[in-house]
Amino acid sequence: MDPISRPAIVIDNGTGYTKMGFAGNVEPCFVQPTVVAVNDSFVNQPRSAVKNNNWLAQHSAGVMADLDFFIGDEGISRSRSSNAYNLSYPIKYGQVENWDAMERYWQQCIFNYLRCDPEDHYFLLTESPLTAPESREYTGEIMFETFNVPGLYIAVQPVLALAAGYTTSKCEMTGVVVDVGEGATHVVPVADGYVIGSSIRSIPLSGKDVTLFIQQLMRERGEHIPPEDSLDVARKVKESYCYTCSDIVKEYKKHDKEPAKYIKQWRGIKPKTGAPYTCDVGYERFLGPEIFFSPEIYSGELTSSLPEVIDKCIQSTPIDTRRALYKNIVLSGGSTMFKDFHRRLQRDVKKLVDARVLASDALGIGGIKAKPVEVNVVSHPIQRCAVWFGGSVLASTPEFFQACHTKAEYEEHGASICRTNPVFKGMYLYR
Amino acid sequence: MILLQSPSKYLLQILSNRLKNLEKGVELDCQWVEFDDVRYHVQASMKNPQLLLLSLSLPTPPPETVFIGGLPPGAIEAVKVAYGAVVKIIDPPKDGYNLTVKLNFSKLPPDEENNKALLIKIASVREVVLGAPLRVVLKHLGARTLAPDVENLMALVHRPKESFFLVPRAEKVTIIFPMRFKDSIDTVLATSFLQEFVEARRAAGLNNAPSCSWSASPPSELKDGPAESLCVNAGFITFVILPRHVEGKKLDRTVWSLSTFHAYVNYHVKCSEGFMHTRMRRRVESLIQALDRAKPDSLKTKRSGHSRSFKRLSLKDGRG
Repeated sequence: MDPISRPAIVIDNGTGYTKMGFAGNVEPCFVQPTVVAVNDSFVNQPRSAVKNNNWLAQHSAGVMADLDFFIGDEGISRSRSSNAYNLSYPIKYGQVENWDAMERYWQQCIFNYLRCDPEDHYFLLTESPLTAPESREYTGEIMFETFNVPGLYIAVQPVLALAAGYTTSKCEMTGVVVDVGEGATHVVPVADGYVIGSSIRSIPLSGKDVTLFIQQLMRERGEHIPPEDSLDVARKVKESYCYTCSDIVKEYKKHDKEPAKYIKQWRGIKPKTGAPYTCDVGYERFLGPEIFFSPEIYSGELTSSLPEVIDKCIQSTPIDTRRALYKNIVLSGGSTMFKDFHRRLQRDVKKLVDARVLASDALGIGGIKAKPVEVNVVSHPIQRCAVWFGGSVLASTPEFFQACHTKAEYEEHGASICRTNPVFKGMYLYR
Repeated sequence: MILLQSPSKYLLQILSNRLKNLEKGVELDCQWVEFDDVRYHVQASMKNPQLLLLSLSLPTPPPETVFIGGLPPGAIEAVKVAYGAVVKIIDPPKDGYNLTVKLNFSKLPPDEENNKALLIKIASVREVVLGAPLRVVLKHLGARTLAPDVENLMALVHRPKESFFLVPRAEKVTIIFPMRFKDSIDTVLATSFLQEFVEARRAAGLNNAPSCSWSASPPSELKDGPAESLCVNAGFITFVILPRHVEGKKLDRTVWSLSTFHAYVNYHVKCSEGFMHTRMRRRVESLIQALDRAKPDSLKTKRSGHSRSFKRLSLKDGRG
C-alpha cells in the first residue's frame, strides 16, 4: 500500500491553535492550542550537586525526561496542576521561534493524537506568508529526517483560505484574505494563487487583544472574577456573547434602553473555594469586536481600522487586479467568527471605495464616470478552520501528490528544495 | 508518552461528543488511518442520532497468517463478548472494510462511570479485533492450558504483509518479532535500541518482566517458518511470556503491547532522532557563540536574543 492511496495529513500550525487531521474530511480531527508543557526539573541540575542515592532516579528520569512533556489542552492543565511543567509557545506572530518545542509538538501530534505512521502519509503543513525561506528548510529537514515522511508540501495560509471557498463551479484563486488569528492579523492579496508579497499588510490587533480588552473592561467595571481565571473567562465571554454592531452610539442606546434583553449573565465557579459566582456581560459584547473598526478605543497608538487597512492594501496592488480583489474578500481565522462581522466589514470597505469613486468622478475629466466597484466580503461556516479545510480540499486532489517534495528529492538535493512550493491549480477543470 | 495508548483518541472524542449532544446530532462522515494501516470510517446521520456506524479495515495479511471471513480468528466472538448489546455486527461489512458495526447509544449503561469505560473500550476496537487470536492463546496460558487447535508455530499479522510468530506451550508462550525498517538510519537506531532493550531488562526491579533476547539471525523456533518472513534488517527479538504476565488486568495490556510492538519501536526510534536533533541544535548554538567571541569587537553587530546562524530576511529588506 503506498502513501498515495492513503489520505494526506494536514496540519495547520497557528500561533494560538493547531488544527490537524486527515485530508478528505470536512473538519480537523483535533484543534489544540499550540503549546508545549515541558518538565524541566531534572534537566538543569548540576551533576556534582546530586547525592549518590538520587543519581539512579535522576538517570532514569533523564533517560525518559525527553519524553516527559505534554501538548495542547493537556499541557495547559498539567502546567496548572503541577509546578514541574513550564509552558512554552513555539510559534509567535505566525513564525516558529523554538524549533525544539516545535519538533516535539509535531511528534506528539503525529504519534499521540493522530496516531499514524508518518512514513505512510504525505504531509501538508502551512506557514504564514511572511515566513523566511530558511524556516521552510528547517521544517523540511525536521519532517524528512526525523519523521521520514514520503512527501511534504508547505502551503501559504491565505492561499488555502481561498481554496476553502471553492465550489465545483467557482474556484477563485484571486482575492484578499483577511486572516484574523490569535497572534497576528494579516491582510494578504492573492492573485491567481500567488501572494503579492509587497502588499501584505498586518495590524497588531488579533484575537488575543480582543480578549485582553474584554478583560480590561470587565475589571474596570468591578466585576468579581477571580484574577487567575479572568483571562480565561474573558475568552469564553468573547466566544459566547460577542457580536458586531453597526454603530456604537446606537448600540449604547439600545443597551441602555432594554438592559434585560442585552445584558447577559456569566456563571462561573471560583477555583479556590468552589463557590459559584455570576457577573454581567454588557457593553463588552459589542465593544470587543469593535476594536477592529475603531482601534482608538483600545489603544491610542493604533489609528487605522481594519477596513482602512484592507482598502490601502488593495490600492497598493497592481491596478489590473484591484477589481477582482475587491470582489473576493475572504475572511478566515477564529476571530472573524463574530456575528455580522462580514456585513460590517463589507459596509465599511464599500463606504471607503464609494467615497473614492465619487471623488474621482467629481474631478470629471472628459465626463467619464467610473464603473462602480463591487465589494464583496465572503464568509462561510467553516471560517474558523478555513485554512485547514482548504488544505484538506487541496490535499485530496490528485495533483497534490505531484506538487509535493518527495523524500527522494530531499535526499538528492538537500533541504533547499523546500524553499519553493509550486502553486498548483487544484480544482481548475482545464482540459 | 512512553507507551502507545490503546483507545483511539479521535474515535473516543467522536463518541463522547456524540453522547453529550445526543439530541442535536449532526451529520458525521469521516475517515482516518492509524499506524499499521488500520483504517476507520465513522458515519452518523441526523435522522437517527442514536445510531453510529463504525467500519474498520485491517492491514493486509501476509500469506502465512489465516483470516476467517476477512477477520482474524476469534475476532467476532471477542467483539460480542467485549461490547454486548450496544454493538451489533453488520454483515457484510462496508465495501473496502473488514468489519462494520452499528453502535446504539440508547443501549449504553446509564451511569457515568460505566459509560466512559465502555466508550473507551469501543475506542479500543482495534485492540479487540486484531488482538483476538493473541488474546485467546494468552488467556489459555493464564489457565496453564493449551488452546484447542493451535499449531506449533502461529503467525499473526501486525503490519501490512508482515506477521509475528507465536510458539504456544502450556506453561509459556514464546513470541518472536522479525523487525524490518524501510530507512537505513531507522534500521541502525532500531538495532541499537533493541539491543539496549535487552540490556535494560537486567536492571534491578525488572526481574518480573518477560525475558527477552535479540539475535541477528532467525532463532531456532523459526526454522520451519516461511522463508520470506525470515529476511529482516533489524534482527529478531524474542519474548517469553509466563502465566504471571497475563493474570487479570494484565492480559489486555500484554495483548496491546505485543500487538503494537513494532509501532512502539518505530515511535521510540523517531523520538530518539528528535532528541538527537535537539542536542545537535544546542551544539550548533554553542559553536556559534564560540565563533562570535572570536570576532573582533568592531565587526560584532547587534545580536538578537537568539543567536541564529542565518540572517532572517524580512519583507523590509526586500522593499529596500
